[in-house]
Amino acid sequence: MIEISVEVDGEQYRLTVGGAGGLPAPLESLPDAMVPLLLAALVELGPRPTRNPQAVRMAKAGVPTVWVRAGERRWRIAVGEPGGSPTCVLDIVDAADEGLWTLHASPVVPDDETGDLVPGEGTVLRPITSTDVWTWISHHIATCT
Amino acid sequence: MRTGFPLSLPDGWRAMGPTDGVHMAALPGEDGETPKAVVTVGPSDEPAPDGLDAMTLILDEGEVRCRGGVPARRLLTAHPQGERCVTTELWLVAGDAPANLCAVVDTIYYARLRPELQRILRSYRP
Repeated sequence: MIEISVEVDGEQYRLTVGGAGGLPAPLESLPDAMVPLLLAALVELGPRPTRNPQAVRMAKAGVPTVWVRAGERRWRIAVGEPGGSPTCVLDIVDAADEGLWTLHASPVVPDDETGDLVPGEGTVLRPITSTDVWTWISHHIATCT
Repeated sequence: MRTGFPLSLPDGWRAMGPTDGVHMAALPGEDGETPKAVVTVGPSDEPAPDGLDAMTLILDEGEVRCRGGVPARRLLTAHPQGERCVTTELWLVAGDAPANLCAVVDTIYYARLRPELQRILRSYRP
């Protein structure tokens, strides 16, 4: 049994899958095997332009407006034991025509003046494809349902 | 391994057909009955495979290339089939020998089989 937490634009949904009575009332008749489709629909997963995998976007911690631009959507899928801390988390910035990006902690940040990378607590965004996201869902969720 | 099949199939896959111009190969499941994945090669004027309906989510699309640089349009979709969730890779091959390549896989196997399915579809040789 796993617990899946999905947060989309500040709205949080919680599903317990793999045991009796896992899904919330409107969805309780849905077979567990449909959970990947449900998640994909919740986060509006779909075709996005493919970015160069070498491309990155960086920002310092605490200044999210630097990297979350107008029109971009954030969502997170977290998987773990019911009641426990998530063991696998996928953090996405959905930049529509600019593609999907995953968020990772970074030990370096761009210097304000020179733009050089210097030690600091920051965030790096790397491009990811919709296929990669579906593969993540297949690996972390479909196999548990 | 070449079997007369228009795709290169790794060990474990079983080629069948062609039937009505459609080649098919399957990767048997553990129970020996329900396959983990099926690939088909059909004419480019074949109708869309089962499942491309209102319940189908189009997850990704883009340009890919088969062997020899032959261009193809790729669609990744998912849909319910009975009590299962099924993932489909559809490659619409253009060029001198257009064809529809289709890989259908139970979503629980998609992550594991994705590299193999990509290699199989990329190997298309008319």
